[in-house]
Amino acid sequence: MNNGWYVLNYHDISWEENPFISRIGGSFPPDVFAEHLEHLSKAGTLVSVQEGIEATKNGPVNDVLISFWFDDGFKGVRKYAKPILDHHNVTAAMSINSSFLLRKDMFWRCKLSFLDYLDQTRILRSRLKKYGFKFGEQVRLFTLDNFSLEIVEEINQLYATYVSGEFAHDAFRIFDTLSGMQMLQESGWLITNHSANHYPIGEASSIGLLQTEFETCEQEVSEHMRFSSEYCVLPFDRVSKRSPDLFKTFAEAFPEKYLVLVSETLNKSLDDKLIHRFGPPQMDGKDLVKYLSYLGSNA
Amino acid sequence: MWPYEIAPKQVPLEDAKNGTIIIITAGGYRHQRFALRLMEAFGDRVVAWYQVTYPSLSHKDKLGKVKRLIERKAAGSGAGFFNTFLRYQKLFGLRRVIRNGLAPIFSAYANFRHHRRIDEGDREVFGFEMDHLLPKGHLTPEKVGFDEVNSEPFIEKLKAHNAYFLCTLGGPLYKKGVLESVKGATINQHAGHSPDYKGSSTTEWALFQRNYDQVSSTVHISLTGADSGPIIRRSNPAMARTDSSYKIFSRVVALGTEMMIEAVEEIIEKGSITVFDQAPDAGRTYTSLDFDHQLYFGVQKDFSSGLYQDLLAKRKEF
Repeated sequence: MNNGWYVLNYHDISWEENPFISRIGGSFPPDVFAEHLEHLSKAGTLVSVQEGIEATKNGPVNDVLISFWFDDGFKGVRKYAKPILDHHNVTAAMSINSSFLLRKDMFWRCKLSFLDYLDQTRILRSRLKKYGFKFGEQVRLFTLDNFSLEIVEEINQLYATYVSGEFAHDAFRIFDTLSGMQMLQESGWLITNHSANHYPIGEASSIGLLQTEFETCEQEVSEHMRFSSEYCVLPFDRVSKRSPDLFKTFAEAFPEKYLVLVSETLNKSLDDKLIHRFGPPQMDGKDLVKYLSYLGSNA
Repeated sequence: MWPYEIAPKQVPLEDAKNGTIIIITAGGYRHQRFALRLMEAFGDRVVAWYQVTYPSLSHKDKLGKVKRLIERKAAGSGAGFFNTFLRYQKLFGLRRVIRNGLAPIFSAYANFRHHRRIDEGDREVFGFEMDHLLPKGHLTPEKVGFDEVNSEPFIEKLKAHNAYFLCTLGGPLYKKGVLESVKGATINQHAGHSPDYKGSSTTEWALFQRNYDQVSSTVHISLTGADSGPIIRRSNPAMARTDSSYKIFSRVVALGTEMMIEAVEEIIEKGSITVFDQAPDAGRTYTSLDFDHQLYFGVQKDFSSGLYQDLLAKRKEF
């Protein structure tokens, strides 16, 4: 692998992948994550995100440094990933969404996943027609490509028809709690801002919500715990769909903060206040190292 | 996760705050992991661990077992088997009869291979954490024969612990005396989607039927019927593209163990638990007799042909 700072972006690490997640993916079982770490620890030096930032700020990185960043605040990260990382003496970063952490609203993509499990995608398709949905398109992609708060409201209404009361509250168990985040913070983990509701605020459809979403997350979480994150983690970050105004909008709104992306490239300098991450595909540890070597060599 | 389709009810379980735990397991690697994980989670609350043992068979007994399996599949005695063979050969031709006639032998092989691979899957999936778990085990298991576990002396032994919880993984069907030997609840984890898939090899059956949403683990209050008691938790394991069916089974077991720990923690904290009653006539109970070569080879073919990976990817294309 080429020298530089590699940041790997995971979501949930858990034995469980229930219908709220199974259609959107992104989970790794603990044994697979442990195997990833075994191979990565031989390919480079595992460092905390803070150490990686310092090393990259201070000049060219003459080593392969590897850090871990988990998005969305899933409970499995603290329960299963942390002990594995502790075994390798490394901490990580966790980006959180205030709505999920504070149990205000379920992640809209999880609602979609569960609706599909209940075979209600067929109802959603007919409701999305007025937004331009055509037969043959995928709801999963359409709702991102044509994102709007009105579409989110359609999903919310259908979800509320089928999921309510105690079951709806129990569904939040996949996300960690405030006390969980505080435990991670006390263990030296970096807790960062992933916006309030995980909308695609880096894309043209909702770039106008970028500032509000990050500010709301910071404000809501700060009411309950020490949380003033220098790092704003962009939800979704589909590179080809980024708004041309993304970097300008972010720099104007948060001139002192770093924007954290999923650019599939390694970090050689942080002068532009951008942190780039890799999203590991579903593969074993050996292939993951080869994958990172290939991407790193093309950086 | 809670079962979505069943109405919940609250069951009070008072005086659980200081409740102690007895574990009964079978003797496999995953059973050991289950017990160690409970000891890690609950420490000294775990006061006893019993491991159900089965007699080891001599070569003669093993051959006898295979012979009985073949005869059962061939519907008759050894002489009956050959009479059946000759009769069908005249009706359907030699090729079909050989294929059908060899089926019992294939099933016996499939059974053997299946159990060997379960153990391999357990070691692949749990290997990374056993070094960490082994020091947490403050108890070594006390062996109890499968034919003793429902006996009066053993039930009295269980009662003498004055425990609150009995947590089980594997072993035979436990009779009422065992289930009621604790003050609180007997909780079992089942590697299947109750009530739809009860009994034996339920992960394999769900995979065979390509019903991936019902590759599940269920944690339930134990009743005398197989996997039929009120459900406490039920959820699905993480399934990866690079998996074998055996790794998925091991993850189902790991998930069940975590859900069992959550259930016991909840009972201790709240003095009650939300449960979901299974309809007595719902679903199907699979037995070990249902496991045959068609199930074994059918599941393996889906994995080797790439169909499993394709179907897993297809779930996300909605």
